Amino acid sequence: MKNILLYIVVALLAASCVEKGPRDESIFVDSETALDSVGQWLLENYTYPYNINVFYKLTDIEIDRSYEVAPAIPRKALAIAKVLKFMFYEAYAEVLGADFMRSHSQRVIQLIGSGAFTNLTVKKGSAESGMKIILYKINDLAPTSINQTLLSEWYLKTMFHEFSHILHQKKDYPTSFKLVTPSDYVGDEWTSDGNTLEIALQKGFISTYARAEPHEDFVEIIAFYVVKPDGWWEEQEALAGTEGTALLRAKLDIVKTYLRDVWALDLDLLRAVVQRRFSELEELHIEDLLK
Amino acid sequence: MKHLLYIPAILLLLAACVPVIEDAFDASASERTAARQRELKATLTAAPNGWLVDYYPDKNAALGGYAMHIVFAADGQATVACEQETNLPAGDPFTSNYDILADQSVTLSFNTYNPVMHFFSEPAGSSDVDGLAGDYEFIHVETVDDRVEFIGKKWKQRVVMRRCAPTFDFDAYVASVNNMVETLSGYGMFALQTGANILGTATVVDRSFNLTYTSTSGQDATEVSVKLPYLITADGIRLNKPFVLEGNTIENFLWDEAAKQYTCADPGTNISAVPYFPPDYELQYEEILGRWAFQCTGYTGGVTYRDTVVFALKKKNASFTLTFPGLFPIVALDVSFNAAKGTIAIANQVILTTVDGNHLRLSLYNYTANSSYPAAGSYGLKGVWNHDEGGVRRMTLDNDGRQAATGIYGFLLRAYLPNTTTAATADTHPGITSGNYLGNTADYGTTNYRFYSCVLTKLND
Repeated sequence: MKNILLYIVVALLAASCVEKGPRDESIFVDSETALDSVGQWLLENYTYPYNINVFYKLTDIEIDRSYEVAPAIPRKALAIAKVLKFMFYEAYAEVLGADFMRSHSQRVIQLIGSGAFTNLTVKKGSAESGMKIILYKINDLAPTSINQTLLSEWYLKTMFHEFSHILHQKKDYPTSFKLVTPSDYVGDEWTSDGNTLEIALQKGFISTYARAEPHEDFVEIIAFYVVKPDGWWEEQEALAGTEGTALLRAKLDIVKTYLRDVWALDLDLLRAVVQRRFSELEELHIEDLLK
Repeated sequence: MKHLLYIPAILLLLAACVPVIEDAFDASASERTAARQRELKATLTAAPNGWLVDYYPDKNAALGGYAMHIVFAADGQATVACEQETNLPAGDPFTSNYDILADQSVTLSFNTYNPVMHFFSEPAGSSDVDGLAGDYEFIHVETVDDRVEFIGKKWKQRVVMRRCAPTFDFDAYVASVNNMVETLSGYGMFALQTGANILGTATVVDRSFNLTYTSTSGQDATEVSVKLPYLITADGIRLNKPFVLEGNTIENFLWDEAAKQYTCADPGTNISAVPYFPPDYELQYEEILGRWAFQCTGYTGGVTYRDTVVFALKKKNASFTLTFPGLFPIVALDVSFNAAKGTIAIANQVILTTVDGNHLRLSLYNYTANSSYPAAGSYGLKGVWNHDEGGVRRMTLDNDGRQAATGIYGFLLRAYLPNTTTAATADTHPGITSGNYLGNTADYGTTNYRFYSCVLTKLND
């Protein structure tokens, strides 16, 4: 009898578990705005091959609201997207295969038309947690902008810089790097008037910003090494002097060894590919989009 | 032991007997938001002739308002024009993208660059990091009939869109607004009054009334100053929000050409905005236009200089050109007009570039220190009408009360080293040559042209 009671209780319990399966439709409603030609190109050239969302429309939740900015002009956004694909994603893919970028690249790129200004500075780009990169001043691009100097300074250096952060955040570089110039990192003081480029070089830093802290130092070396033209590094060494050059080379050695051992990345090969692609860039006729 | 098993089982049963809770809404939050998005888009795109938009940049609406015209297409494109010159000339349309997002609420976003819309939001550089501080994302507040109201997402200014009639033509609207701008520019002050009773006076500054009135709403009468931003419509002005002035709620004013005044069009009020000239008002713009006898002492070594100078229209109610035909017919000074006070002002300025690239500049002159003020700065000479001349209009040039501090009460014409790009040729500017001084030393001596204690008397042509 007791068992019968137990069965009844269990049966009631089971009956109380009314099935409430998923509804036919998702409660999340997709945007009804059809993709335009720029959106379609980005879908086919970034999202499908690399699993990256490139936002050329200004998406408020993706930006830093402390800045007042203006959206990008679509054809200029398309121009820079083509440059980045050719000079950055395909360069890495050429050296390490497309899977490498699918696995490790930032997931979101937000393109902004204006700069992000403070009273003293204007931002070229910013990154968040390896997930997103924001590039500014897209609307300032002109046909004459398609050259190594400007593209490197405004966009490509930022891309290589931020992507290198992702690499070392996933697998850290050896402590020995931080010990090359352990007492010359200055934090926020890197913007001070006393931190000139010449002084930074003489202390073994490739840029003034590299003095902020070791992570920035590490990725600045990669970014500058890859995007700057032949002879540029030697010019920096000349300014750095004997002592500075020795420190710079010690850091570069650690960087190269780390990339080779941890990521199977030959930095010199990547640099050669990027430099070759600069010379091929005109074949893309990107200037036509910037007129 | 088996009894113990019943206890949790029964508890579970009881717990399972939860009363059915009805959903407060028929659809989920996101479905309801999506429905509102669709509804707003349907509303906006169902106006084939677009919407007339009241737009105010700046968190304090300090610049006043501007009318935009926006036509929304179903494919996500919006065509935007403005009655004010932006990155495009006034009235010129530009098409870019818009979207209706589910953000803080249903939000209308202009999300690709539009040189009209984003003129008000783009930063101007490190010297002006937020530009005109205008919004391009607008949170939907309500839709009532042919009127949709938003609030700017960042700067919180109210944006009202009114559906345009099928016959509406924005080019004609811009022309009407321009006429109204010109009408308004003739007046620097208005008295807000009911009948002949003046409730307060308002100075016109950048599409705002700076209103001063005596409030009687409290126990004691108190003087109140308030800024009332407005935009200029085809037939009058509209405040950016209703304002209660001594019990009268005012928002819309229509220009009455016959009476030369604005009349409040809001129900239940009989307020008028009547052009107001305070007792110390100097001269109206039209009264200054024309020829004046010019006389000053100290000209080139102390002799008296006389000329017949001409004030000509440059921008109505805002500025003149001033020529000295007897000295240099080709030299024209810029003279600004203050419509609120009826005064003219002359500031430092480059007048022309000489043949060899030097430029001729008017500098305010400190007679006491015998030095000039070549920088533009805030110095200026103000024209002061002598009211006691029995019908004769006479102005003296004064430094607007700053004489004690600066010693300025004259100006000089002097050539300086080049720093302008304005080209000049010997053909267009004969007689202007090089050197640190104006003119040809053989003809004019070795000094600059100095003008002190200038007096102008209107000639009755």
